[in-house]
Amino acid sequence: MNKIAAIALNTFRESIRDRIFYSLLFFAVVLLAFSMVLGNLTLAEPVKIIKDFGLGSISIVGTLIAIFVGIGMVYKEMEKKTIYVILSKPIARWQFLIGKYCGLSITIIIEVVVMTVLLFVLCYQYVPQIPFTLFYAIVPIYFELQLILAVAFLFSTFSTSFLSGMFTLSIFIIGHLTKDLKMLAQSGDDIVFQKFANGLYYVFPNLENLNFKARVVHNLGISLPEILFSLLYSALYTAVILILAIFIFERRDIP
Amino acid sequence: MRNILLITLLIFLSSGVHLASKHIDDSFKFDETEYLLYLPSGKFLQGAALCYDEMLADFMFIKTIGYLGSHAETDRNYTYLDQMLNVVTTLDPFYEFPYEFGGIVLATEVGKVDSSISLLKKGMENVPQNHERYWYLPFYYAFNFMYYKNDYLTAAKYIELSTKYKNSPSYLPLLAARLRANTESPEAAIPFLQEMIKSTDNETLKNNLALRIDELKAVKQVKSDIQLLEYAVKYYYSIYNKYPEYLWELIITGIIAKVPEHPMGGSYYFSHQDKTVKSTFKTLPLYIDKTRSLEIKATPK
Repeated sequence: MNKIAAIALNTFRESIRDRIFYSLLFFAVVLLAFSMVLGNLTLAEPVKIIKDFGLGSISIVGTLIAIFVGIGMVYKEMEKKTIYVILSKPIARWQFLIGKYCGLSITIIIEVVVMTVLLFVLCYQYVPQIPFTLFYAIVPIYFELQLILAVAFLFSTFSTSFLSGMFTLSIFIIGHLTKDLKMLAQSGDDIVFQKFANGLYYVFPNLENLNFKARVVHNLGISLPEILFSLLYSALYTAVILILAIFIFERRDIP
Repeated sequence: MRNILLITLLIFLSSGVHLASKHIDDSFKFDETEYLLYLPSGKFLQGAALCYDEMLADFMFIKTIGYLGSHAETDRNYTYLDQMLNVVTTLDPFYEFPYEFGGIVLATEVGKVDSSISLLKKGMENVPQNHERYWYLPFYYAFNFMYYKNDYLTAAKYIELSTKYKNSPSYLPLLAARLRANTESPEAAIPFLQEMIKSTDNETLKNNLALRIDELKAVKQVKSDIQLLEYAVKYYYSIYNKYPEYLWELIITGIIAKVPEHPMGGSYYFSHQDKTVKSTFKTLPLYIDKTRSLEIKATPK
């Protein structure tokens, strides 16, 4: 456990020193500030626009961090040959991978926390009360980011940074479209397409399960069991991906 | 020396960028209809936006407000307004304000009453009923039926519906009762228009709606003037057993002190053909409904 914690801490230090992290965080803050401008341009409910953009920014920037910082974590170690130094110590490959994953998870928490505080401050300027209900959307976003990070890790165990980035981005896009695709297939008569869409729906992660943004912003009732089951779904899927990543990484020949 | 050269080059290139941008803006006017012509459907954009539908809806709504504003000041041609509003409300179906805004603008400014009705219907189906402004949706829906379709029963039904939602004003049940009584009086629309003025920040729309209220008040005045003159004509007939040739005969005979001044600058006359008093203004100066004549007449009892 200590070994995993040590790697996680080092990964965290490394990632927050990464320039990509700061550029993306800066981009997120600009996006949030931009929502204030848009809030003034609209005719009613500026807070709604700020909430939409705030939650959207947390998700967009978190996804980009998970992808662009996550894909390089294992591949970079192999490219720079630093992995030999680490793996020559009494440390298992799975501990190395999980440590790296935990370190980046903490980095993403930092991003989510910074953005959440900023979003709350902005909302408070318009309506003087802290919008705690936004957590119903923010926590699922964090779980989605964990899943995306796990996917980035999976690809980075056997592919180059560029390809891993492309693959992860594709999974993110597919993950948000499988539900629509399934509904589209069901409305048609093509059985092959229906089976294909069903396959995609159950194999790929359904990231729309974790999208509560619209319902939270519009104060629609969300049942706690629904959120909890969505989080459970996401956590189980993440665990499956991570085990798959460990499985591949354990068997990989490191030159 | 090298630094000076670099700074000079930087200034020179920046000026070039500025001049090129200005030239593009001045010489190549961008025709916005061109891109609106290819505006995808809301359903397509819903998929393309991944999980960022609401952000895209906010953007589109701001663009819609801009589109309305720019055309209100120029050609008042709003061909793509209903499509834009449809995209916004498909991307974020729970967003109440675009329905309310579109419901008013499409009917009163653009003249697309059916689009306004279907947008408000979509709003009533999607916006959560506990929304503090939900009551506006059935309220404007009722207005369209009363004002443009002359369907007072449907209007009354939806006014009654809007009374069930929070924040609805206390005068609504009375208004519904009036509509149920089938008064067919255009001035019943005044409370609707006053509510519309309160609910919008758009100055053009406010002025337009205020003009409508003035028109309706004038209509009310004309109605009561004609009623008064009809009574006078009836009285004249009971004394002289004939109808007056002109209305000023009522003044000479001392039945009335003067013929009331027409509020819209027209005049009143007695039609021997129908045996009624009529107004020279057959329609109101502003658009209300192409199919509806506002000739006002009253028959002597």
